Amino acid sequence: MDAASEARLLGLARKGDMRAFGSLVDAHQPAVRAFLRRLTGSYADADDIAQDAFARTWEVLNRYDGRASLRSFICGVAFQYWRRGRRAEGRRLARDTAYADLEDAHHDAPQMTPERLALRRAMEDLPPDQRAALALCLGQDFTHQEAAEALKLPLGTVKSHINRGRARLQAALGLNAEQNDA
Amino acid sequence: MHDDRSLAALLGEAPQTPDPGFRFDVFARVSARARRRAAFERGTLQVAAFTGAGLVLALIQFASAASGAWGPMLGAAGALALSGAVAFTVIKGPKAALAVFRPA
Repeated sequence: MDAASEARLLGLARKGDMRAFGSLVDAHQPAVRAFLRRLTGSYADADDIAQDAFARTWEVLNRYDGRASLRSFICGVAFQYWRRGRRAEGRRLARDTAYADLEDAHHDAPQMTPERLALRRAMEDLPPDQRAALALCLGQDFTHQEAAEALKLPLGTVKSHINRGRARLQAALGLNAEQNDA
Repeated sequence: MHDDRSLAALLGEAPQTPDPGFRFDVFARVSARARRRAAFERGTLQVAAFTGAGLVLALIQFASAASGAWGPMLGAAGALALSGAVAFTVIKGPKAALAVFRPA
């Protein structure tokens, strides 16, 4: 979606046009859901948080000032939801239970190979900010600047998070940076 | 070899698009949140209304010391009628969530 279309849809959505907002959801859901899938490791949890994040975005569209990209803004909202959910351990457990059946219904969820398991464990050992920076920037076209805006972190911190986090993920796969660069 | 893209793919793939089901789920959540918020506001208003009515009754009781026996009764009846009207309006509530977004 080009910037002009997005601005037009945003203007309509701010006036209460749900169709326009639906188009924005369609345009940005792949990036937001991919970010959350990498962050949480669970496709069901990722979609749960992503839906809450989009619903919240609808409520606070007027607060979006356009300085960051809209998808960064939505990812920022999603990140806050994820972090809040981590703090509320009881609620997270309840949600995990509630979604246990649904998780099986996610046919696009990948098989947990040893490689995936090792990576997932390595991700879960990372601090939340580092994990989120990696989930945003690895394999997606989020720039470091966009990640900094979404996570409300200084640019240098994001770069450092990504370098350190990447090294730890590679170490979890039995690689080191030199091997990877070779 | 594991570059950033293959690491990302191992951590979680981007979903296929467009997924209309996801959009509908988002709309359902928007609607549910709007209903919850409206219910909260109605509840708050009810509490405020009945607290106000109680306060009025107490003031009438206090005033009755000087103005005879019938004054407080009439005052209490008036306050009850008023709080009933307010409560009815509050309970009836606004239009259904998202109704304001329907095209005219």
